[in-house]
Amino acid sequence: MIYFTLSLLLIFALLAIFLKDNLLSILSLAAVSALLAIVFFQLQAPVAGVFELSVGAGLITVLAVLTISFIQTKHEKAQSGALLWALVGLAAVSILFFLFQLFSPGAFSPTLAESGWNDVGLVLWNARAFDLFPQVLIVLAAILGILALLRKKEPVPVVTASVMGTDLKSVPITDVPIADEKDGEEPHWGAAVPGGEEP
Amino acid sequence: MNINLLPFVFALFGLGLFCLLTRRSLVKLLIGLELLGKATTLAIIWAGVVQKTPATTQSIALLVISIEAVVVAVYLALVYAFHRHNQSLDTDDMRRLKG
Repeated sequence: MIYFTLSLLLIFALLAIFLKDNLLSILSLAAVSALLAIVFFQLQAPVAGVFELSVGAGLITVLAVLTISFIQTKHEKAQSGALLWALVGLAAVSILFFLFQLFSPGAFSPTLAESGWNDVGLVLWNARAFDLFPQVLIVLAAILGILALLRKKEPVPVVTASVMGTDLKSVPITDVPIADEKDGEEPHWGAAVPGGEEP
Repeated sequence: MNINLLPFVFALFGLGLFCLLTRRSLVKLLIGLELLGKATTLAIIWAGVVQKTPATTQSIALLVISIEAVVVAVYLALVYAFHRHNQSLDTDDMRRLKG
């Protein structure tokens, strides 16, 4: 049964990669998360399953769908050269798999060990309590980073004063008439650079 | 019945790697990252099954899943900010690092 769930998971992962519509890809990814949660339940890991279902299939999907609806870009451009990279990726993963099987030949299990909610809670709050505080800091740092990324620019204040009879409201600051008082000439149009010399 | 999930772990990891290497859309890169994270979480849970320490590995998996969500949130904010400036999701348009 677990092999059937994992096969379905791989099919949805393939769909998530190859579908052209971004929204359908994200929904396929949500299906992958839900199937992974089922696999965790089948492996007697219910806490990880619930967390994967709520965070992976819930929160991340909502965030991604919201972003796609904001940016309104549903399709991606056509790609080229995928076959070469597919072969490179396949070779890399095959080498990794071979090395893993070589160095850990007993990586299969005849039985599944059971664990309840209390066991995981005890481990989290006793043995791994120190990990939780850096995790909270990471979440806070991420929130600050998102706020910094999404902040809007301050609007430029409109100048309403007038210089030498010229209304500056609709004139850029570089086109202000500058009077040359030394020579007593008529004011001419030039660059008003603070501290700079006239051309 | 012996169970071995390692082929599935590596297949999922390979799909994520393939997606990261071949796709240029920022949304597809997010999917590739997610697949890599899910393969890692499955490997951690499977290690707990093999080593008979399911509670410890589940707590590690919880940490991995929550950090994965943080990474996705920051990544989506970056995607939104990039799209606001360039009106594009193509990584080929990310040539200019100057702000």
